[in-house]
Amino acid sequence: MKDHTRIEELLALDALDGLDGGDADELRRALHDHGPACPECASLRAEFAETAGLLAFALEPEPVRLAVEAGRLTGASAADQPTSLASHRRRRPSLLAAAAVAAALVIGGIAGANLAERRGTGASDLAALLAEPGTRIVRFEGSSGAVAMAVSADGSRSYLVGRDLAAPPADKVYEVWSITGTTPTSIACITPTNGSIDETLQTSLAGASVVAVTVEDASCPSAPTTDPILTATIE
Amino acid sequence: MSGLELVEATQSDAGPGSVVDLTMEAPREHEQDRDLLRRIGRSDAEAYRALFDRYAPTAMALAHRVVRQRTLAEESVQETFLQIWRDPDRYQDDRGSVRAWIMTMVHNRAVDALRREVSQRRRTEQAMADDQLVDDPAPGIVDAIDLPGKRAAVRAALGSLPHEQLEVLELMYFGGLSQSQVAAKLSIPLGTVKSRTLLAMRKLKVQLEEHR
Repeated sequence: MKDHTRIEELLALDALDGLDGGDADELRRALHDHGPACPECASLRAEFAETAGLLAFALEPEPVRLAVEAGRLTGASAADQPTSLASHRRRRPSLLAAAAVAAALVIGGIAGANLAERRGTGASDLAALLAEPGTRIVRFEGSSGAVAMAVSADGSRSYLVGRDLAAPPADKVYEVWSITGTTPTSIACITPTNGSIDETLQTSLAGASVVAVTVEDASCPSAPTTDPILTATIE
Repeated sequence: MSGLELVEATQSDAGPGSVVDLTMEAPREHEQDRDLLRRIGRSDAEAYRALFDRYAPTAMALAHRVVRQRTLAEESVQETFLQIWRDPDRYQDDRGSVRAWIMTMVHNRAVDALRREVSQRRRTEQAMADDQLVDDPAPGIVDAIDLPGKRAAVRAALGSLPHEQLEVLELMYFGGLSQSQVAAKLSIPLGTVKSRTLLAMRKLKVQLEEHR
């Protein structure tokens, strides 16, 4: 049986991300020498990783700004948010960058999007909207991709984000409708770019109870002609 | 909260001599996590959110503790969970639990961020601004996702370590220092750091076995 004394010491340090210098190389060599099938090495590695992973639970959990909303996804008021972005904005005028990170977390919770994919005006619009108190994140349910929308407290402004969307058929677009009572109103016609949508919606959603997406002719009809593929309830 | 404060908190959390029995919960938790990962592999956003809700607050606490700067901590958590969403198959069952995998990734990223020179500069620049931010514990939300029994057990295990071992472990894991940096900070030989680390991890491994 091979001696694991040294490997155990190095694996303990490695599990805590404490290795440096030549010891990291020594550990790699030692594990290589023992081979990938060495059960003792595998056991030691897993046990120390498990132990180190538990240490984080000694800490008090911290709210993840807005990302908690991504978990709940709908209806959270500003008071329910783990941290008031509005109050942060007063304390730190340069919050926009942080809000953009938070936005990425929100969208990450919905579609695995990356902030790096959304730099520019759209990202600024979204970040600004998310930095406002009362902005809600509304998730769409349906058969295509992952879509969510940030809606300002009064419904006057909104931002639509979609990922992994199939391209509509030729000469077709995705048409977005706000539905007030039973009356649908067209608010945008959109064609995803590489399966993604990042769009500031120009029409107020105030009073609307549902937002729906249908596949329509590229002429953007004034009333839906097909069943919705995505719907979201605005609370 | 320092390591010593963690130990002190043990008393109020668990109470002297209290025993937290999670032995029946750990396997079920692990299986639930693996199921969530399988569903994430099928682009199930609900599963992603469930995993996020379960572990992001603890991951955030860990990253924040290591990098001491909220934005960098958020980035570490963000990168980790985006990685999980995009490539859940990277999880290897034989390497441990999903929970340990997530915390390892977050810790790796936080330590990398801490050690990058550019991050050091950003930390310095933003430290004062971050000090102005008042953490909102949002107790209702935290309670909903908390694992108080596990926290008490881990704190109790840490509290059982001799001071010199706890000190090394605290600096290395929660402080993000390498073994050499720990040795320099404490003015002790590198070999002593290694031996204390090993002794601490052996003891913790035994004490926390039922919670793994």
